[in-house]
Amino acid sequence: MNRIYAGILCVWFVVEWKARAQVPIVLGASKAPIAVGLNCTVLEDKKGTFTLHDVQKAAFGSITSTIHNSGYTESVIWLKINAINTEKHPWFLEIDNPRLNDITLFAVQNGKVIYTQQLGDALPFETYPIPDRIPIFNLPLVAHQPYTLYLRAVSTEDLKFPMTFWEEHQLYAHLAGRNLIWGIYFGFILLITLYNFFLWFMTREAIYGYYCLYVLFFGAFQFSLYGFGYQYVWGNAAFNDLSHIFFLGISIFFLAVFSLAFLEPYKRFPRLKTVMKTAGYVFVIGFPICLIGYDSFINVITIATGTIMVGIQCYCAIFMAWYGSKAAQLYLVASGTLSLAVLVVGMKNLGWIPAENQDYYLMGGSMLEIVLFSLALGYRLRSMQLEKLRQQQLRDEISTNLHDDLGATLSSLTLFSELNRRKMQKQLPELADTFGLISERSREAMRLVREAVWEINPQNDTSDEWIDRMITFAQETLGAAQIEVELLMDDALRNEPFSIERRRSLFLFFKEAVNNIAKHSGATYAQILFQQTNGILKLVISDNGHGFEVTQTTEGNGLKNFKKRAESLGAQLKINSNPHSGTSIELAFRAPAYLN
Amino acid sequence: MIRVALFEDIKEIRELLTEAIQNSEGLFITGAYANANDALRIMKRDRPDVVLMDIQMPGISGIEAVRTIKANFPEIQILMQTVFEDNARIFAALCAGASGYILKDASPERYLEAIVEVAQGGAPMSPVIARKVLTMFQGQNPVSPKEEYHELSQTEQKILGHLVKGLSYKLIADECNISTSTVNFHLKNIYRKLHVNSATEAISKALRQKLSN
Repeated sequence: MNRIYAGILCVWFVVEWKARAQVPIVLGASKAPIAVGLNCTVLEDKKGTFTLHDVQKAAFGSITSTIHNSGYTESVIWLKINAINTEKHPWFLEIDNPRLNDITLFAVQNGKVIYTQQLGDALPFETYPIPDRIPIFNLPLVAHQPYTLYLRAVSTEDLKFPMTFWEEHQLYAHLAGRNLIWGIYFGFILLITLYNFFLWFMTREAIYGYYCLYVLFFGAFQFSLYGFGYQYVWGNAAFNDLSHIFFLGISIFFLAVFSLAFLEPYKRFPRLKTVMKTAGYVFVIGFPICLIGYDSFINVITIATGTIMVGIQCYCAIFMAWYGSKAAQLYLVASGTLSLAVLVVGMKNLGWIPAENQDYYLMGGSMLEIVLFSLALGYRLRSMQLEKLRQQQLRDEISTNLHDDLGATLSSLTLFSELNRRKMQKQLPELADTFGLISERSREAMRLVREAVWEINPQNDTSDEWIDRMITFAQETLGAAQIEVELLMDDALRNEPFSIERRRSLFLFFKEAVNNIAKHSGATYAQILFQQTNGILKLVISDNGHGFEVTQTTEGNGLKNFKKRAESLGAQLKINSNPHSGTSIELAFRAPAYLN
Repeated sequence: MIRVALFEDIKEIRELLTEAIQNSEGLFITGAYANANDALRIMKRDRPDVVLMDIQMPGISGIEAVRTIKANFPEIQILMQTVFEDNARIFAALCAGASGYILKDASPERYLEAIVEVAQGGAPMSPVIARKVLTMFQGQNPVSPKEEYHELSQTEQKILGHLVKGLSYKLIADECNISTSTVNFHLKNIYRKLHVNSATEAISKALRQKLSN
């Protein structure tokens, strides 16, 4: 029995001895950085009352994961490291956590404090001997002497201690390299922000605005979380401590709004509207309260709220993706990358996997997510365009069918009426005249349908057949009125770059002029000239009819229309008319090729 | 006496047109039919000079019927009836074998006039159609081998050019220093060459593809 007790005691002593006498870190010949890792011990000071004297006598406990993490607590954390310097060159101790409010280093030798330095973002940045956001202590350790280093740390944010010893040269290279990577990251964030801002500005589609703001504030969150805000912008102002909460909160808000706009889940989840409304009110009230009453536990609340919001979004997205919504699937892939990165970071925090380079994982994950979201937005834009196109095609089809049916009916009506007119010509001439009137009207209606069909057809927008339409119209109308027509149309004008509106305007002008000749001129011969000389385009429509009083009918509607059209075409109108030589209407304007 | 066969699916119009054609001098109606499904047999029996074919009919499409008739009876002239001046479709009909087209809401006088024109070898082409024909002959279809391909003569090309500008027969005759009946003669040849060239496999295939698009 005694032997068992002895055995247990022995084991306990060994463990205790191991705990008390940690293997000292040898800062040796190699200039490579030395991670502290498990080679330190920790003591929690719940009330924050311990002095260095108290702590030197106290028993420290060993740490359980590769980086000690006390999480979010109001306690003060003490760490103890044993080190010995075997080289002449100085060493630096880097504690890769810019969120420590107050961290003090005590270098103790033989029980006496040789050296002490205080860092932390509660102090102004100017006091940092090494101007980097990360607390870096320089260690003036005499060679070949064993030292015990004590660190006292307190923070409202996460108390993590990724500690590394650096040789001077290596340290500077490391800092420069790290800043380069962060520079690239923030450049990326700014680029995406600006790009989406411009997209919003041009398209005025809210979704780009939400995305732009989400990326901007997420970038700001990273900016403040990793101490850049402390170093470059606001120093140790009170805002510094809660800046990450501030930006993260707003970022999550815009992510939620963006997700709602992107997934459009209200159709599938009608109750979601009330949930989101409540969340909105909670945010508007709770967020300022969190900021005003900021303390370490607010971090926990924020993480919990963020997780809930993300959870809701994922639930909706998964549901919709399951039912085949392509947009939801893309959304999941994009947000999945960030969620994966956050998961990895979480596992590192818990020590399940080696805890180095947490910030790079988050950085990489967020960059990938942003790129994928951009792709998703592009896809969304494309499918909206295709939908519009499909609807337009459907409308065109309906319109075409309608016009076909209308045309067939009107044509048959006209022909029927005309055949009856011809039949009645001899026996019942009045009836024949009536039929004639009917067919005149239906033919006119048919002409309008024909024109509409031609204009609706998008292939005709750029068609060079517009001159042929004018020719055909002139031939038909004047031919029906027994007026001989001479056409002098320059074929090369076909390819003149007239806009659709101008062509239409010109055609309507032409129609009216020709109709006038057919109905009112009493002419037997007409000439239509459409040619270009020296950059001046001339359309001249003349006939040998009895003319009209130009001054008298100026007030009438007919000439007014001519003037209006000529103005809209930017052309000069010249009308000559007298009973001897007939009428001549001239439109002269600069060829479009010469216009800007 | 010009023998006319009529294909028209609306009963009242079919009856009235029959009457109108019957009552006009120089025209004789051999028969009026509601669809073109039995076209070949009807051609064999009626032996008309001119066929009045509707582009849109139940059963066999008007254009298909034209192709079949022209393939078996090349001397028969065909006049297409159409509601819209759909130039692509009209051009396809001409290439299939029609020698002219008339809008369905034209006056009966115009109808009868068109029948006579077509009987004489071909109706005057509208400027758009003339331009399409011209471009087609100007080597737009290099698929067909040279021997089977009939080229346009210089005069024929000139006449087509004038038609493109919209000149009437009389003005074309003045421009080319020939009589209007000579213009008519040239036009007849243009149609004939168009039909012959179109009959070759390659071109009609290309046209059929264009039509189906």
